[in-house]
Amino acid sequence: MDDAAAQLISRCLGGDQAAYEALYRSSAGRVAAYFARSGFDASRTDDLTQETFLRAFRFLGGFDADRGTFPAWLGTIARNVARRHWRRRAGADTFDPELADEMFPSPQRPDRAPEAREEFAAVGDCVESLDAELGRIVRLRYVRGLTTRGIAREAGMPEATVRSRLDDALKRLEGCLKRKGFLE
Amino acid sequence: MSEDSKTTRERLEVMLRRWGARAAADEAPIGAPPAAPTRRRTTVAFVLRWAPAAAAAVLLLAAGATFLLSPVKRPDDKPRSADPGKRAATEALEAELHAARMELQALRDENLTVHNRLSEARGFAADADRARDEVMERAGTLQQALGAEKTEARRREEALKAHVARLKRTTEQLEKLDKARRGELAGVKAKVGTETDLRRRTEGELKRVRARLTVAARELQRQRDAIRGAEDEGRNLRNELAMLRARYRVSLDQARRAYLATAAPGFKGLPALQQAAGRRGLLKRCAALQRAARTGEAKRLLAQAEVALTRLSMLDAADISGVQAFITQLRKDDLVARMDRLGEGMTAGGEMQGWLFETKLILTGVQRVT
Repeated sequence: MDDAAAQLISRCLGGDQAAYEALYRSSAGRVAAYFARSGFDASRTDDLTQETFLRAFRFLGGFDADRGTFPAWLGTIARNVARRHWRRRAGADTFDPELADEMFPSPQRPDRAPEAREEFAAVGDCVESLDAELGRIVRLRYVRGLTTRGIAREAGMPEATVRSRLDDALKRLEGCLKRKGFLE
Repeated sequence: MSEDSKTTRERLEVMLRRWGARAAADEAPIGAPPAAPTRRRTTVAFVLRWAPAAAAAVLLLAAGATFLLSPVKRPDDKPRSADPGKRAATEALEAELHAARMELQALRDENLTVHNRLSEARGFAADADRARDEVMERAGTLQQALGAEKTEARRREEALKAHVARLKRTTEQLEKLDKARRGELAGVKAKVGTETDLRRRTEGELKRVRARLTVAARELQRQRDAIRGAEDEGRNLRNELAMLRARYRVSLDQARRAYLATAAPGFKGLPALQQAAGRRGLLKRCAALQRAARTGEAKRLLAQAEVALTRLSMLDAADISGVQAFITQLRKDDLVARMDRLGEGMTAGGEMQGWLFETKLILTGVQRVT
């Protein structure tokens, strides 16, 4: 756990309202995205995010930094909350649960490193360089976490077409990232 | 896909997933943060929080007052605490104050522990309340669904009863119709049976009639053929008879000419006939034959022939009407034919047969003369 998070948690435990808000702002997007990627609609995603942080703040004293990162601990709470409301989610077959779990990275993943930020920017630029339709399909897959079927329903096209366009988009992205030096 | 390109694609997939997760977190709409757990500033907590300080202040004030009001004077304006009794009392008070502080600190810690546990319990209670609300909500939904199901079930039951009643009525009507149909069918079957038998019999009769008609037609054809054959045969016979008659007349004429050339040479026509009948004594021979005749027919024929020969001898050749009347009488009496039938059963060469032939030549000669 980085020092900033540790300090925030410490301040929260000391009753600092501003620390609570800062801790919420730093992780709420990740939690909300997890619920959205799990198939809950916007309204329910907001409710479940609130419920997750209520529970996290209530039991923040039980958080043990030696046993894992704060995002991983938050992910455990979020999964428990999601499981309680699992039946209320929409179209289970249109969302990829593996991509939903990507929202709470394992400690080994260096996604906060400076080089990771450069990688994010490069991937974002390459996605932006795609034509509108391919870019939309890539974002539906990797940002919203939809399955091929979910993309087909959202984009109003056959699943075979989605697979074909996605493969085309990946080839273009591969070329783009190779030119930028992020892929060999 | 080669191993390198597969590895590249997997690496790309990892990068896209990281980027997607980051983008999703960044783009997710974030609402206001929930209220952070706060410590309750209850009266008890307030008292407990400030009680040690207040107690300490009270004790200090009490100690000060005791010191100032004490009759013991410190030498050279030294503090009264120099008095051993007072000092001991002060120390005792300080010790008591310290003990009170420690006790208050322990109470404060215990209160904090209780407060934390109470907060945690309230959190669990809130969770339990939410779970209960959720269960109640589900129960309400289920109750509504159950009510709707009951209403629907009642509606279906009523509809089913109505349907059963309709089915019953329809079944009764169908049974009536079936009964009537069966009766009608039996009548129709009987009628059809009768008609079938009648038709079968009629057809049999018709076959037999047709067979008979066929046989009759064949018989008719055969009869027609026979008639046609008979007609042909009769026609042939008639032709043959005509030819025989013609040849007979020719032979008879030839015989008459020969007879007349012998019996009445130099005469022609009717006189030749009259002369030959006289010279051959036909009238006399007729009288003798009448006497010898044994049958009535022969006697009647010979009598009529005698009359005819007598009239012939008296005929005038110039009297055409007299000759014609004589010929008409011969045909009326059919005398020549009767003479032929009488002569058929007689022995050839007899007197009677000779006379019959000569008389026939004379009488037929009269018909030829005209």
